[in-house]
Order: sequence, then C-alpha cells, then structure tokens
Amino acid sequence: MKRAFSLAFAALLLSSGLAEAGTFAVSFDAGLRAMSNSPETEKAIFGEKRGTGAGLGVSYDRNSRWRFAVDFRRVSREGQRAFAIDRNSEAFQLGHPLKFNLTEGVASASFLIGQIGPISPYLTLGVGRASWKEESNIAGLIEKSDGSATLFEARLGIERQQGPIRLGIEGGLTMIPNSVGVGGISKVYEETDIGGLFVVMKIGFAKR
Amino acid sequence: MSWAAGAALVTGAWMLISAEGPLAVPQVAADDGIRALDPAVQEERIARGPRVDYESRVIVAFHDSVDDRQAEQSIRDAGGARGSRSAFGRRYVVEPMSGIDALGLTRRLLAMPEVDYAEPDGVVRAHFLPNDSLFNLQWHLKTIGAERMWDIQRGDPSVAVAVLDTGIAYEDFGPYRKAPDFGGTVFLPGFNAFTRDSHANDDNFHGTHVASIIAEATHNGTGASGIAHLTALMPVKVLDKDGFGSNSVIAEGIDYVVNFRQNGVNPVKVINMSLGGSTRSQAVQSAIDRAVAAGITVVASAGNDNVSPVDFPAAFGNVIAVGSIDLRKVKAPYSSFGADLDLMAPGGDNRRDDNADGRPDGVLQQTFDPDLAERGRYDAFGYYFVTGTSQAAPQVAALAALLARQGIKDPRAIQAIMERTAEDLGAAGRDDRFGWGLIRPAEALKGLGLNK
Repeated sequence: MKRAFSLAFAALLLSSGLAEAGTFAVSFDAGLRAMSNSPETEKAIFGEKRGTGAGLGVSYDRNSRWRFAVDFRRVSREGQRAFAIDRNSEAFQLGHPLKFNLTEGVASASFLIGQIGPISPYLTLGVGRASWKEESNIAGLIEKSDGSATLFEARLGIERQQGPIRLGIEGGLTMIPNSVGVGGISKVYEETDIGGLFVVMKIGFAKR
Repeated sequence: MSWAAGAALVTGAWMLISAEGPLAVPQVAADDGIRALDPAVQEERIARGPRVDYESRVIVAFHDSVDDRQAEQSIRDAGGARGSRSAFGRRYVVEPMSGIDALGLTRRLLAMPEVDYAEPDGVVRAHFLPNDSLFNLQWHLKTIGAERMWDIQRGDPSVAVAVLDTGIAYEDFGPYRKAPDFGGTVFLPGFNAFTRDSHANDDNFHGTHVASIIAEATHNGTGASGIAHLTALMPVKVLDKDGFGSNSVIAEGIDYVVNFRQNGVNPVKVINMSLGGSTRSQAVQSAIDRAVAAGITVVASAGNDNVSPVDFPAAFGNVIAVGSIDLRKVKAPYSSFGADLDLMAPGGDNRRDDNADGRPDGVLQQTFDPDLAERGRYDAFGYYFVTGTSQAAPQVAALAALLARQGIKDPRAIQAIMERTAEDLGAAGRDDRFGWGLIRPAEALKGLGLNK
C-alpha cells in the first residue's frame, strides 16, 4: 500500500513540475457509505443502520481536463453479531456489539467533462488499498478480526468553484473483492466484497 | 429401574413410553459445610466495574539484550510517564504521558527495534461462578463450559422450557411439595395430560431431576446449579408415577404447550422430552410439527438401550436427538445412536468415578427420594446423581432456551448453531455415534461476526 501511494505521489509531483497551469487542492469529504456489494451481510450485521465515512485528499489539476488525486477515508459502522443457517435464511442478531472500521487509500484520475453553467461534472477512476478491522464485545471478551485488499473505485461528481473554494457532491461504487467471506456471516452468505455504493459531500481549497 | 426399562412396550394401538434415565441414588447432603458469599455483594462488585483504569495502560517487553536503563529511557522516549517492571522479566506496565492514549503509546513502542512486543493492557474479570454449595460436584457444567456461558447468557423468565415428563415438584398441593431449590425458579401454569387439570405434580422423581438440570435455582448459596437458571419452566405431566406414558398423552401435552398463551403470547420456546419409545406415531409427529411451526424447538433423549436407531420422538427429523457422553467425553455405554442422532451432552455414568471425587459420575441435581415416592411420600428431597440420555437432553434444551433469549427465533437456526459450534467427537464431522458432537454453549451464544 505504501509503495502504491509513494508512486502516486511521485507521479503527482512530477506532473506538477512539468505543468505550467496546474492547480493544487486539498479536499475533505463526508457522507454515506453502504456495503452494498455484500447486501445480506450488511443487513445481518448492521440492520438498518447506515455507514458514515469521512476523508481527506490532495489533488492536482494538470489542465482543464485531467485531475490526479490521492484520497484517504475512514468508514465506521456499528452492528451486532448475528447468525443465519444459510444464504436463503433469515439472520438473527444476537445483541453482542460489533464495531467495524474500514480505511481506504485511493489514487485516482478524473476526467473533467466540461463546464455546464457554474457546474463542472467529472468522472473518476481509482485504485487503492482498503484495510478493515472488526471488533466484537461478547460479555466483556473482545474478538478481533482484520484484513486488507485492493480496491477499485468509479465516481461521478459535480462541483462548483467560487474563488479558491470548491463545493461538490460525488456518488460512486467501491469494489473490494476477496476482502471477506472466509468466515463469519459473510461466509454464510457467500459474499466477499465489503465495498459498495456511496454518496459524499466535498469541500476543497484550491491554489494555483 | 434398569436401563432396559427404557424400552417401549406396545399394547394394541397404545405405545407406552418410558422415562429415560437409569437411577442410582447415592444421596449427598444438601449443605456439606461450604460457606457461601452473599450473592448480592458479589453481583454489585461485578456491576461496579474495575476501580483502576487498566485499559489506559500499556504492556511492553524488551529484548534480552536491553538493560533496565535503556528500557526505561525507551519508555520515556515513546511517551510513557511511569513504568512498573515485572518481577519476572523485562516486562513493564506503562502509563502514558498526558496527551497520549494507550494505542498511541503502543504504536510508538512497537516502532522501536529494542521492543519485543507492546500491547494495550486489557481488563479481565472473574467469571460468573455460582455459589451453590454442590456446584463443584456438577462436573457436567464444567464439561460444557457453563461458567463462560453464564457470562454471556443466563436466561430470562420471558422464555420458558416445557418439561414433558413425570411432572415437577413445583407447588405445594395435596401430598406434593415444592422442591426447596426451586425457590427462585419461575413456573408457568402446568398441565397434567392424564387428569387434564393444571396440577402437573411429580410422583416419580424423574421430571423434577430433569427440570432441575434446566433451571434449578442458582447462586442462592445452597444446593446445585441449573444451566438456564433464569428461564421459566412449564411442568407438563405425560408420564405416570412409574415413568410410563403413551403417544396420545404426549401429543396432548405438546398441544397444550403449543396452544398456551400468557398476555397474548406463548413464552414457551423449547420442549424437552426425556422419554422415548420404538414406535413412530403420526399423532406425536403432527403435534411436533405444529410446535416447530410455532417457533418451538423440540429436544428429546436418544434412548438408553445402546441401540440404533434412536427412540421416537428423538428420531423425528425436526426433533433434536441427544445422546450421552461420560466425564471422559466417551459415548456412555447405554446411549443409543444412529443416523438421527444430532448432538451429545454429559449424561454421565454412575458406575465410574473418573474425576476421583469419591462420587459417581452422574448428573447431580435435586429431586426427591424415589423409593419413598413409591409409598406416596413426595417431600423427601435431596441431591441425586442420575445418569442417562434423560440427563443429557435437558442440557441441550436449556441451551436452546438461552439461544432463544439471545435472539434466535427459528428452531432450525437454533439447531444449526448448536451443531456448527459443537466439539467434534468420534469420526471427523457428523457420525452416528456422536452426531455433530458435544454442545459448546459459549461458542453457540457468540454467534458470527462479519468475517469471523
């Protein structure tokens, strides 16, 4: 993961050195993140509770069409341990609290589609690394599990820039294949991807 | 009564079904001089939590080449305020300086090459240990890991187990007396399927012993402990004073349980039947089907004849059939087996004393003197070691009640989680002599995490 981001940063810095009209920006985002690639696992553990996440990133606009960025974000969710017989069965929550944290680092390239009035839409593709931890409290005894996997991401966003400030909204899909499914309820449901749909609000500060 | 007395007798259309559970009765004193802590004091201390904030500290160990001076310097460099050295090695307990939490200090220490390991200190607490004076003689509770199980779940009166048996010594009525160690146990209105009234009094001994395995009053400083001791019991008398009944009576008893309502709901989530016979009955099968459809888990003993297949009703597909192991986790010599056997629990063997405690290795619970009961006296209560699959089945029934209380509503799911978390005994995987193996209540009650 470190190597991937070092390379991403190096590319970012290199391109900044080569470009004449580049713009740097720092951004913060917050919003809802679902585990919709493993819907039954999500429902069994988290019920109707939504996942929320927040992140920060740095980006570089190489020109009016291309933006390169590195983002980090963290998603925290709380649920309960559960049990289901098989993938076609109802899941029962057992009351033991379960905390789930997902940390993602993504290097991405965005294609800035153009200006529609004051709004700039863009399409982003990214690749990165996700690491996760789950922690259950069973009558005072803590059970832990963790792992990491490569992630892929596609995002569609719009933003409006006023002076140095960028305000935007992004929606997309994160895929983290083979991240779970070796045990627990995800194995029962034969679901292996803890990624999913997300929608976030963004605020950025740009400096030419 | 011999083990062979468990065999069914068929007379015309009637099948007599016998209570399963050979009897050996070396009685022990109810109070053998063990002093008890006040339960209220013990519970209050547990509820209060630790006085020391153990979780704010970090444990760190250094490599052997690091001397004390270097170790202390490293602790200071990492942000440790104070370190207390172990008397047995270069291991320290460190409190972080203000502004640094235990996790941060751990990370800093782990980054140092001289550190062998570092981890946040964790809180541990005494397991729930009942103060019942005979608890130490109840080896079956240790075999199934009851202490850890009780940390997670001890039951609740909102969930009840119906005990279809010879009745229970649960009330003072006529010549019958309530057993002394049912003091705190909650009973739902009973049913006598012979007389069709509400007095399901035990006139044998068997049902009281079985019920005590499930919910004998626990942590009251006296007597023995029950597995799901906060769970309610429903006495249903389907076996007569000699321990026999018939399929029609059993079907009647099951139907009573299924149709029972209290404040509009049926609190009975489990039926235990420590009984069996060799004849398949449509009446019993239909009644069991109705029970399972109503969300009631049905548990029955495999039988005490060391034969295959197991007895009915245990042999029905939607009944959890329970066999018996002894203290060594070996199949008890009497325990029936076969393709319908699902799970094992400790039913013991009164001819052995594998833990050398000077007592037979049966299951110890309260009941009354069966010899005096034959002469119409039902008040000679004591604590008896009894062995049989009759003693194994209620342990599984009690666990089913705890799982229902923990949140699992579907009898199929209750059976599945018990089977998947069982300790595999005998041949790998399910086999006909041990089924899926020995129940592990604490593992079952944990359920599943997201990926573990």
